[in-house]
Amino acid sequence: MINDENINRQIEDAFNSIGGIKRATPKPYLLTRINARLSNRVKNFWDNAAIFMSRPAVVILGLCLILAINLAVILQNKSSGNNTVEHTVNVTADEDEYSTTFVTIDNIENPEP
Amino acid sequence: MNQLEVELIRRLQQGEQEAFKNVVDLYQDMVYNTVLSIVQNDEDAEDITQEVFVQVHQSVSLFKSDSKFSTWLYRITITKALDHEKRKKRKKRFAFVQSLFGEKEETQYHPIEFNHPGVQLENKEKAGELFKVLQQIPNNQRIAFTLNKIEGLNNQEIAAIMNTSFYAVESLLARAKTNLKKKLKNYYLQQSAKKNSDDK
Repeated sequence: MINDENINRQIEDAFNSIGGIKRATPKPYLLTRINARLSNRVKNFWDNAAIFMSRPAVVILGLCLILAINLAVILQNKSSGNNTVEHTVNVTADEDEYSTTFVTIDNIENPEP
Repeated sequence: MNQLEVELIRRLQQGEQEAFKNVVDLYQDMVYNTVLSIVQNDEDAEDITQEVFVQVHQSVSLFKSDSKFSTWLYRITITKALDHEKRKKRKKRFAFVQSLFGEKEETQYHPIEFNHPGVQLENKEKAGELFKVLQQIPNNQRIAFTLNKIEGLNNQEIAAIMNTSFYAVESLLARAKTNLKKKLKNYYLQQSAKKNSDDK
């Protein structure tokens, strides 16, 4: 019981301890440090970009992306290669069927008697 | 917002360096005190305060005058402070995982006893205990309590900062108090048990 009362009193004391608390203040010349950080940030844009690009995760992702693009291009070429053969065959057939070449007198070989 | 504040923000949005200096002079204590009460570390608080003002400098054009400038600034401050805490916890977890694999020696992240410089000398110990348990309650309750008891804001102002209703803030404060009492009780019971075992 006494312990309970004691603890309750301690809790009250803890809550009262921040009564009348004053604002903490930062170290002097905060503005100078903020300005330095601001100018540093602008200057370091390319440095930051380089650091970002050299991150292992970014490098691996970039390599994977290049490989994926290569693979996609190869696959696309393969499938379009097959189409080209078919297309060529079709075109040749059409040309034979609907031939637009005219036989003229120049084309005919002179049949020697 | 009063006329002076409106004028100051207008000049700041136009990129006047003198206006930025005035804003830093005017609000640095408010920002630093809020951050310090949340992160409970001087160096981190200093660093985050600088980050807050850098953010203000870069995004003041996005500030719309439908709320007070201080409300907007409090929001940035709280977000930055909580982000910092998240990063710190992530680091702590990562260090723990690394220590499991024996890659590195575990970095020690023992919480250092925090003393708010604004507390009166005779109350330092009790306030330290309160700040210790304050870290253990949910973030929204902690923020409401900090803004109310340490920054001295009323429920209406806290509601505007936390983007919630007056009654929600009342409820948050009541729950914060209840939770803090529970945590303090556990803490004091442990201390008393420890003291008894030491005496034996």
